Amino acid sequence: MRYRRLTLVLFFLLIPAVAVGGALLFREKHYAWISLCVTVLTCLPIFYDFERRETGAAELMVLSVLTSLSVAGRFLFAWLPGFKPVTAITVITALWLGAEPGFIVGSMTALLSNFYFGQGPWTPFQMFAWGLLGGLAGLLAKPLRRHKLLLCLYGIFAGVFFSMVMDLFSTFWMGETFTLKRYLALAGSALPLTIEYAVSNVIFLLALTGPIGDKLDRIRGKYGLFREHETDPDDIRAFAPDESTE
Amino acid sequence: MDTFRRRHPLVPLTLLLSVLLLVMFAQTPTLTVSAFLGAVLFLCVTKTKLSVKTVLCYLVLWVLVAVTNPLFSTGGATPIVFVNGRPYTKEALLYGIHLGAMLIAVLLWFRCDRLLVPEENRFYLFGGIAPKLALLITTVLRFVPLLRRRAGEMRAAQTAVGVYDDPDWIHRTKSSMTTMSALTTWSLEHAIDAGAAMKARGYGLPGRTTYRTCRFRTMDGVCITVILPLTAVTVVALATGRLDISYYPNIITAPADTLSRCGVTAYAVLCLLPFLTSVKEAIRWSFYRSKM
Repeated sequence: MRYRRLTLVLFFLLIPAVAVGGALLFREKHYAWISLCVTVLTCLPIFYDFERRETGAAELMVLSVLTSLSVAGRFLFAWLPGFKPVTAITVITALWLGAEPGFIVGSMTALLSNFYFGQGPWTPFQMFAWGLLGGLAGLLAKPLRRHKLLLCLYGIFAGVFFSMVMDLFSTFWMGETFTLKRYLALAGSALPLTIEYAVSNVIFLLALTGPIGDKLDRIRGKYGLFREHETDPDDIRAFAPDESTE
Repeated sequence: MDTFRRRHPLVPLTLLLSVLLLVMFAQTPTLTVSAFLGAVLFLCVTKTKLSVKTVLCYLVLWVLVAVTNPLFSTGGATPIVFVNGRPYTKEALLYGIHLGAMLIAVLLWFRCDRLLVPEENRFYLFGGIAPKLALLITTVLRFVPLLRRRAGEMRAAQTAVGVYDDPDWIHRTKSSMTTMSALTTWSLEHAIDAGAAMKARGYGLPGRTTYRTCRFRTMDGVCITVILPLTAVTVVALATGRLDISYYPNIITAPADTLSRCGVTAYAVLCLLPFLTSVKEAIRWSFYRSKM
């Protein structure tokens, strides 16, 4: 209940207050300021809930390993630029462990991979975008687990969404206000990258959902972790690993 | 040299937050110049080496932002040339130069950030507020090199047996996926073991202690009481519009008065604090040494 109240206060009072206050103070750059406030303050209630909740040591370590996998995956596939398994691992985590673990893995991957690739004002935006993609996948877990086609569509959507958020970020930071023309120019120049994100998401999701999902399912069953997230034992069969992936 | 490193982490973090937020969102060239110089001087005095590639990236970004800005905003009054019948104005170009400098200053301050707050102090502070996330971050920072090493071992083994050594990219992708999958199995088993070990050693019990203990000393309080009023002066000058500048159609700056001068000076002192303390320490060091 306390969490509910905090979220309500945050969304209906704190975000508008900070945004409006900042916009009055920094008149010319209010787009950049408001977007920063919204990305940071949206992440906070989820992190707060994660801190408040009882998380066993093993569950915490599983999340930590999944985050490390998606950060290390960026290095493993470094020979193919733009090809990274971050979204796929975030989505798979969300499908089998729940929306909140998905959000945590997505946003923490953004924060931690920037320890290697450079922190900057873009970090909160990446945390927001990847976290949200994980959380959303967790909410849509049931249909996404059942239908491979939907999962592929989600991969495409994720690639486009991530690109759109980051282009929005660049537009806010490279100009005094939001101009549609600048946004379209940026989005247009990033189009090959957007396509690559979308394609790589689909490839990673198809290749990894079976094997990794299987392992997560097994760990949940064997050690009784992440019990509050409902899964159907039949779901995993759609992704039964065949010899080409194992 | 490490005056700020030895302080309680709240001190450098307050300074960084003040400097960064003000330079990011205020539109005043004098503030941008202060931030830029403060960062450059501090990086110089700490002998931080930026790679040629990084410096080139910064320069390219700066030029790109400056040159493209007039293409999107045509608000200025003095056209230099006409591109496709649209004016390419001096004011927009100047604004672009300012914007680029601001971006570079922010990036440089993110570099200084690593020097000002040592990682373990950051975790000390963060661990008090969000213990689970802090633990997650520390363990990930340890796991990433471990996983990379394990992946390397697996690749070496695969190459040695002669599977997946095809140079074409479909095979390489496939083999990387297999490595990913095997890495997951290996690491998840370890995670469960680590979790059991943590539980056996009392993780989650009350009375948690930290690896590092930072005491908030009187000097830390003094530092913060210097930083906060300086920030406040600049914020007041900004809020009352004394530091306003409008670029379009003509560049008009708010007339300088006492408050605006105070605001600019206060911000300049804030930006130069890391540099000044480093210089002070360097002088003190050579002074003591020369007496020996």
